[in-house]
Amino acid sequence: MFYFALTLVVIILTSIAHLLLKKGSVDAAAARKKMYLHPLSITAYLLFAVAALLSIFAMKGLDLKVFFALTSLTYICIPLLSFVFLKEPTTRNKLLGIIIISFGVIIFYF
Amino acid sequence: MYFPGIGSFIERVRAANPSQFYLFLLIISILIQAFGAVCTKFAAGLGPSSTFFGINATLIVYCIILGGMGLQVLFWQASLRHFSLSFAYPFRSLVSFIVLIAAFFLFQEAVTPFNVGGLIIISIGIVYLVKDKEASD
Repeated sequence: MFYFALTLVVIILTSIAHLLLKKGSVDAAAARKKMYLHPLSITAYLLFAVAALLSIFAMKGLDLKVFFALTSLTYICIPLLSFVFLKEPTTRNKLLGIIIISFGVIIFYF
Repeated sequence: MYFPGIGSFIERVRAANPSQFYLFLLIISILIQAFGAVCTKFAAGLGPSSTFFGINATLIVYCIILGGMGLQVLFWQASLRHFSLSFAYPFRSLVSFIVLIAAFFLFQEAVTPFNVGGLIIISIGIVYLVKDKEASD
């Protein structure tokens, strides 16, 4: 259970990092160089590094295939967080994609 | 390290067949991501006292993973300059299949038909998610 919880933390950190990258790229849209060095982008890189470290600990108790299938939940987490924090619209295709991915993860564990 | 003419060589290859060149970058990006996943599992199996030339082995593999992440982003971004997101993004789901094969052969993990079916369904879901991203780009 601990390793599943750790994987959940990895998924959340990765999703937040993607959100920060998006926000950083929008804030510094004028210059590509600024985009990479924007404080939000740098925070995102740090979160990716922490997520990679936590992934090592999570895989101590989980199979590689299980861990990687679980990280597919990032594809669900990012649109949801984008909807809440970036006010990005949720469309029919996005909802359909989220439902299909969730179904796929469940099937994976059968 | 300086390799005279390597820049112009890459430029010539790119100009000769841009689609193949960027597809190559896309595939390299996918392979690096899968390699990172395998390295992570390998690092998880290392004991705290494992060393390589006196340096903690987990730390070395972690640095390789981080370097791989950086390279993967570079190749991915470069390939997106040529391909649409709806073409490139489904390729990412290939990583899951490569990882599944690696899990079977390298780590002797059992692979069931449900595992394969689940990944196929997840890939279809990713295609649906990307449909709108493409439209908004």
